[in-house]
Amino acid sequence: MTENRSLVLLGTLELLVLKVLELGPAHGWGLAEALESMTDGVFCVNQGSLYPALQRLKRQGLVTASWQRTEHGRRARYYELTAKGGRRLADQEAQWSRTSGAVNRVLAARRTEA
Amino acid sequence: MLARWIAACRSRLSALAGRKRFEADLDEELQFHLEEAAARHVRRGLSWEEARGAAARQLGDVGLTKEAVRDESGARAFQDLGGDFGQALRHLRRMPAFAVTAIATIAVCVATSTAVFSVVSAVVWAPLPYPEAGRLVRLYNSYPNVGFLRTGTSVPEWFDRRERATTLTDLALYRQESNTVTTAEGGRHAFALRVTPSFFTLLGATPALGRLFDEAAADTAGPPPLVINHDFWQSAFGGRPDAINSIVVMDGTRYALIGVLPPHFRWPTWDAQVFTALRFTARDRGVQARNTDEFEMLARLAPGATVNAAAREVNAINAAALESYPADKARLVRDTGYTTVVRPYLDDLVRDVRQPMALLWMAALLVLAIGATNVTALFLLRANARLREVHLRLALGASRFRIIRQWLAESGLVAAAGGAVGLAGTVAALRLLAAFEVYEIPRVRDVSIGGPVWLWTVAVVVIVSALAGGVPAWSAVRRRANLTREPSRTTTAGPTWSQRGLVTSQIAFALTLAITAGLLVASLRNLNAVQPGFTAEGVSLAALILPGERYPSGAARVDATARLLAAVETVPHVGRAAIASQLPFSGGDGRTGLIPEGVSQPAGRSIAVPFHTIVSAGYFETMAIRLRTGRLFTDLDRLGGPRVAIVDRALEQRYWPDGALNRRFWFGATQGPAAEAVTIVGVVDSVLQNSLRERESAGAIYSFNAQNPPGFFRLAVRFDGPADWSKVREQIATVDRALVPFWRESLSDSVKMSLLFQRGPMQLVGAFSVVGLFLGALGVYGVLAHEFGARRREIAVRLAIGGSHRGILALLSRRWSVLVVPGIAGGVAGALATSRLVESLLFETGLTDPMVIVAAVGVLVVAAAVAAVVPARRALAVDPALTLRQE
Repeated sequence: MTENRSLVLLGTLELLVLKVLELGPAHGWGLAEALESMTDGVFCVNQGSLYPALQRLKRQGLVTASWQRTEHGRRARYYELTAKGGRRLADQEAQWSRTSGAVNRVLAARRTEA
Repeated sequence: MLARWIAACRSRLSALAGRKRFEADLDEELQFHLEEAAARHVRRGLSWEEARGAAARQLGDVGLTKEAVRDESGARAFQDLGGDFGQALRHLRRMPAFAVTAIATIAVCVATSTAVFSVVSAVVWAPLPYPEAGRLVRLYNSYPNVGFLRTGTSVPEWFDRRERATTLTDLALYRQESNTVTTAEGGRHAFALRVTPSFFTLLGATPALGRLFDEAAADTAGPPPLVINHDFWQSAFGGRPDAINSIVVMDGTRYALIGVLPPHFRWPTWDAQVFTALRFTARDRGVQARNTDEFEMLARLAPGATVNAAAREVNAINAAALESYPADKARLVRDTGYTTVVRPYLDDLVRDVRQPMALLWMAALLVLAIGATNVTALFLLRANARLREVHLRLALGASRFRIIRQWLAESGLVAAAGGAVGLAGTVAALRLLAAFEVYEIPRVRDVSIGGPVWLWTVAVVVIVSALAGGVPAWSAVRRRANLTREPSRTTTAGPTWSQRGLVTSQIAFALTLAITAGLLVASLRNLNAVQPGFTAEGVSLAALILPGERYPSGAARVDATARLLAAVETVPHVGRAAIASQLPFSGGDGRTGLIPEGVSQPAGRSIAVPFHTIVSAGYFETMAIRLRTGRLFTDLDRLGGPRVAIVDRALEQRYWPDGALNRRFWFGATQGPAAEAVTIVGVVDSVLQNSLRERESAGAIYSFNAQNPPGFFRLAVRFDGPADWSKVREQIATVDRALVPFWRESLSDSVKMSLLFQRGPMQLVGAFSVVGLFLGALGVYGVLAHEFGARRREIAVRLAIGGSHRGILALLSRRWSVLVVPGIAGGVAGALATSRLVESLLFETGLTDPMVIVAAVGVLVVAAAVAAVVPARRALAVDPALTLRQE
């Protein structure tokens, strides 16, 4: 069912997670769902790689984790962006737009030449 | 950098510690994910079963995910390390013989080196426990022209230097004494120091209670002040604070106890328990007091001053003072070559033990080197057997780092176990040392297992494990190229060059040790053959004080001594008893200057400083010293009568070669009035006074106790049967209950103790060299066994095509020689290189004594040959047909 959808670009998962968390705290499942819906189902997060990524972000101090109740009263681990995480997000966003802009220009140039 | 590393470690450790919690959280989180995902699938119309399956597929392998999260948590490295150690433990358990051998070897090395380290560091290296201890200096006078190299200091010199020396501050004089303190419970013997007030300033002592001696205070009125140390306060005064200002009677004199020293204050050589104040008057400064050298002097170098500058200044002050001497005394003193020596205090304190300690330290390091190489060789041998495994694992994708790490885990485990066992051995060795109470070694009571010793042990363990794990791993990784070419040969590869090199260096180290031990053994044998001139066997000694208040006059002391000796001689099995103010081999130096009458001597020899002792009539019989001419002391020699003396042959030959009988002399540095002249009535055999190493006797002079009765003396009792000291003690008590013998020992023991610094190093270095030889032989065996195990096939082929057993033996002996001969050369070179350390301990043995070297090499060759026997027999027993079929 996921074969026709691309996997998250290598290295961008971190950026996407931080971006989602900028909107507010979320648990792992919520993040996976949000990522999928925000990209209109284009990106299917390999859910197995989400948790190691969260652990890495936590170790770097970009997010914090705490056990809280969901709206249905279940216990879930919520991740929250730290100030440091916010700065990292801003950096990565800027970098991403530079890179993607460059890539787009390259692609556009190819099309005109062809 | 360090802070970050510590933070990383802490996070890893806390991750490790909170691992259970971590796992539980992770489980719950993933469970929540699966359930929510399944719930969504259900909302989209799947059945619960299908939804669960879909959710699980989406998440992927939960185990892998968990593993990946754990990887990110940072606890990984430690967990892996735990795995490495677990695996190492399993490996070692499969090879108990290997593990036990390696652990035992390391334990022996750690025990020897750590024990020696703890002694050497406490005795020789540790700074003295006083402020600015590095600037403390000892000063003493020396009269080299009359062979009297070390005396003390005189009071006038103290005054001179205090007033004029700019390179020295806090000059202090002190003298050791031994007193009886009378407390409520009775007499109690105490070790006392008489000190100038500056003594405590110099050593930075502050009172724990009360006050210390004050330079300025005029304590002249009332009883003189007394300070005691903390231990004595506890033991004699029950630690009562009200002991301060109480009156203490010591040797009949009343003292006011004014202060208690803190518990940490210690006199470095022995427990000084009681301190009394030395006070001098102008009279003590008189020229007659110069060069009597009755005190010891300590001082502190002034800021910026050096030892040499202080020595120059002090000797200039001495030279100026000589101008004020009467002409004849000035000439005499100048003749003796009078100088004052200034030495750093610690340096001076450990002067006798420095060389033996350095030697022991070297020997311990050699044992350590041999042991470390041996364990490394053991691991190499094992590594060779495991090359195929390494090869396989590398091929399967294991990193080199991972393999090296695993081997390091193994060697680390073995080294740590060996270190622990070795440390236990060290503790036992130090207990033994403490039990022996070897007070001849200064600061030996400070020997303990403290921080530096732990650091040393850890360093040894780390180095040994790095060598034993790293060298084989390095060599395995290096040999990988060969393995890939010839995979079928992996298990039959012969010993590597590193293995041979290790064994050869082991042999060299072991031989160095063996030669050193041999030189010491030869010296000790020479020393044991020396006749001291008396018979020590059967003589027991003790010290006694006749308390001044009970025996104030000379006559009283003469009488008490006579009754005492008579009482002792009634004890069964006592052959003879005597007293002496000084005994040979009892540490006292007891030398006195004298002027022979009418003897003209060349400059520099005009004053004689023989060994002087005051003895009772039975002394020569008790000690078995033979009379050569004249007579011994008799009842006719009385207090106040004409003074008589007995001299020994050495003194006779030096001053009265035509015969000393009836010749006269004066004690002191100048000729006195005729009434004070002493007449020689007898000549006895010379005895050695301080050491069996003495080559040139300074001569001896014996005074009679009936004419010059001492209040403190040694009691010598010759037993002709089993010694029963308690009976002797009882008999002495019948004379006076206040007479308590102390410092009991046997004369043979004190003669033996004089060889402590010969015998101790000899026994230890000897033991070390036996260990070294054994380990070296083990190394030879290991390499040869390995070599011929690996060459079985070659040997079989040789035999099959008509090779002789002799040829095989020739091959074997070539291999053996390649190992042993360079080792012998290295060992002899090592012994020569380290000979400086042994030199001062040798006696009539040359540093390159050919007999010793030949014997040591012989022992080594025999040990190495024995080690080759088993491999040789195995090689010769090869059955060509059988071996080749197996291949």
